[in-house]
Amino acid sequence: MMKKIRIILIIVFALLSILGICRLKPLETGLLQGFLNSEHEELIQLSDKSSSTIGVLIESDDIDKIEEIKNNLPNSENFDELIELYKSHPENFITPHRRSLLKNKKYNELAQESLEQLYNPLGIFIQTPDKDPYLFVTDYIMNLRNPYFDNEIREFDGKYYTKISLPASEIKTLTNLQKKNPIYLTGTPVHAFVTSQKSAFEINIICIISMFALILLCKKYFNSVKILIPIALSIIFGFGTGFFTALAIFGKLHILTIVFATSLIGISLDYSLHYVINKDIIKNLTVSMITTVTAFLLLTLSGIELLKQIGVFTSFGLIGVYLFVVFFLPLFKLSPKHKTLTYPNIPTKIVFASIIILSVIGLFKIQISDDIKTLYSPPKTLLNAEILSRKVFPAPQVSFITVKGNNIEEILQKEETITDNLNSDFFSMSRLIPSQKRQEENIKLVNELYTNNLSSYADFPIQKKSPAPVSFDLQNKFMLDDKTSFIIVFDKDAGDINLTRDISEIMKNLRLRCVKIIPIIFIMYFILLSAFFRPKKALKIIASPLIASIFAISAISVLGIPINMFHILSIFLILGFSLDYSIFMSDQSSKDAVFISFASSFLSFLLLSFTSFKLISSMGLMLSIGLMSSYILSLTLFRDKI
Amino acid sequence: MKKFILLIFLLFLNCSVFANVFEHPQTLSNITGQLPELNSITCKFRQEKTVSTAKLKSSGTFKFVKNEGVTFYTTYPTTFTTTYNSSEYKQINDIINAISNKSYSKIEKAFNFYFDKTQDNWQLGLKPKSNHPSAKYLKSIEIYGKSYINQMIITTVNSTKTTIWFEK
Repeated sequence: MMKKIRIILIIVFALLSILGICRLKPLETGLLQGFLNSEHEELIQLSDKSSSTIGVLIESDDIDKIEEIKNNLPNSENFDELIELYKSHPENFITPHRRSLLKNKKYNELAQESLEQLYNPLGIFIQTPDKDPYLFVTDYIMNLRNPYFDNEIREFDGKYYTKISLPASEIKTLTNLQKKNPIYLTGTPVHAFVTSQKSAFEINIICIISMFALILLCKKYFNSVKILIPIALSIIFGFGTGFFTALAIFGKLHILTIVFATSLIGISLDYSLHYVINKDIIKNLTVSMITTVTAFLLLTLSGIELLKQIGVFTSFGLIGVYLFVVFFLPLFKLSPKHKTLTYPNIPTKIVFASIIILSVIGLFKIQISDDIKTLYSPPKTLLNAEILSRKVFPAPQVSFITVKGNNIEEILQKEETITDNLNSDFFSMSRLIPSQKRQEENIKLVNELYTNNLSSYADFPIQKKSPAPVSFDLQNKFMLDDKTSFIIVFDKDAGDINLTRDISEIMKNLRLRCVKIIPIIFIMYFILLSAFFRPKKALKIIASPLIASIFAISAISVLGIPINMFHILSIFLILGFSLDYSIFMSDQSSKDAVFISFASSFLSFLLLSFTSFKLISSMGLMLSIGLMSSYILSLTLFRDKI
Repeated sequence: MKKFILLIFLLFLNCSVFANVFEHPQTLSNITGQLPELNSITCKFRQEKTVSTAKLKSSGTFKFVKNEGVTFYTTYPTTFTTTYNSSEYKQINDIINAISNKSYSKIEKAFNFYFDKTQDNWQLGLKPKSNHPSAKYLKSIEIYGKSYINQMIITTVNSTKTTIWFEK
């Protein structure tokens, strides 16, 4: 019977693996994608678009060297082609101010402005007056406020600077060039690259330290490291089951799902150790699995993509670990001799009183932050580069307006209707290349001007030609998809979308939604535990994770750290770990397994709290505090059993 | 762009016929001592812009106030005032002040210098350094002078030539 079940399990695991691999897509690394769903698609696209380029700030004491340094860098996009288009079609491109003069037939006023420009002693013509007598092109280009037109050289603090924009794909080349050239790199891709490299290194170090610690623990406790083989297999089977099931369901997993799912390793270790030490633990193991799986499955109803993935990954991973422990670990015929640990006599009342007092103090100091920027503290060099860049090239705060249409012409016309009534400065596709309709209108207005005013205005020869609307492809810069463009408004409140404000608002709503899920999970835990134990014992079991979660939040607040979405999410992990501590702690023979499991998990999370990536470190700190308090609480709550 | 053209207009007198100044590259340190002191001045100016085959003529009054800036009061063919001492032209003003105070470092970064002198007459040529952004628009500047500047010629890459005569 057992053999048949094992074969079925292996077949199911193999099928899951094949299905998961077939659906495998690269990990989603964008933070927003983990929390926002299809209704926030535009926000995600805008965020991606506005953070898809690297700002390269070139510094030199000598202005001549700026160009030399620039020549060492990958080529930035230039708009010479567009400028040439303007020059060859001066009648098509007219500023709103001049359009207004033309529409109101204020030809004398327009002529006077043009003459002033024409005779300005130090004025320049982008197109010569014989081809553009009223200097429409010069006026048009001079009035373009274009954040994409780089290359301006500015002097700041005795040094010369210029800034160019390059695509995110150049990040590796640029970081190498940075070693030999005086350049500063700014923008989201740089932060993502540096942070991911640093985090990967730090997490690898932590994994190595944690692994050695676990080997040392097993060596000390079992006097053997062979025990790690079945434990490792259970972890692989559990993690694999969770991973492939989540892949089969979602196709593309978020990187944070993998980070959160590392709790499975701790729980897998927990289950395996319990079985190795005490073969009669199946009832508690089953209760723990059912309650934890049910709680994690509840996350799939949250409506938050990341939580859904964590819910599926962890639940199925736990089922996998459970099945492996029950059906495969007996094959290893494990009955190692082990030492017996002695535990300090913890004064229950003092521990409880301390935890409650600290919790209350912390709750009074609690501060909430939904600002996504607080989840990340850049390394000093990157922060200094950003500060310098903002000082030399101050950038206005912007908001966005999205425009939908069935084709480019319709989108451009809609953009023009919107921007004609906009009181703030803006930048858009239609500002660079007006709609065909608008160009035709401009040509008509200019022709009327020529008919009515040119003979009295110009006493120099004019090269006349037959103008026609033109087009220029700027879609990759200004389109979110085939039917949506965006207008950048240089006023943080004038547009419909303000990324920082809107994302923070969404994060706030998600945090509140998570907070509402937590009591439901606790109630669900209580109901399920009551089905297996007496209500009093069920209450005692959930008291430890409940108090530990509150204590962890309070402790974070006492440290002056604002509570964010990830602190709240960490509570789900604390629940997963600490419920097991309570359930197994009620069994005399499991206390050593609980300690080894706690010690290894606590060490890993404590080390994580020292990492440089604030998001990970804040979770590490919260989890290490939560696990420590939960372990001590379960130790004191079930002391009579021990 | 304008700031690089700006350096120029400072004063008057006759113009002698020189050989092409651009055949005489010079370092700024050699030129500095031979250039006149630039003080506040008000004078007449005449301007001619040659565009293709057309000549655009204008004239008026020029005013330079040391440490404040320059103003062209154009009276022909139309009346308007072009001031370069507003905050918009702060950088230009900084450069003018640098010139009038004989602090040439900013200009030196942007231009190659040429200089020729015959008796009391001198000729200064400025060409934007090839890798400098102004080289996209500006071809050269020639300044003719004696005890003051009396003429300057600005040539742009699109073949527009602006000649300004400063006359007492």
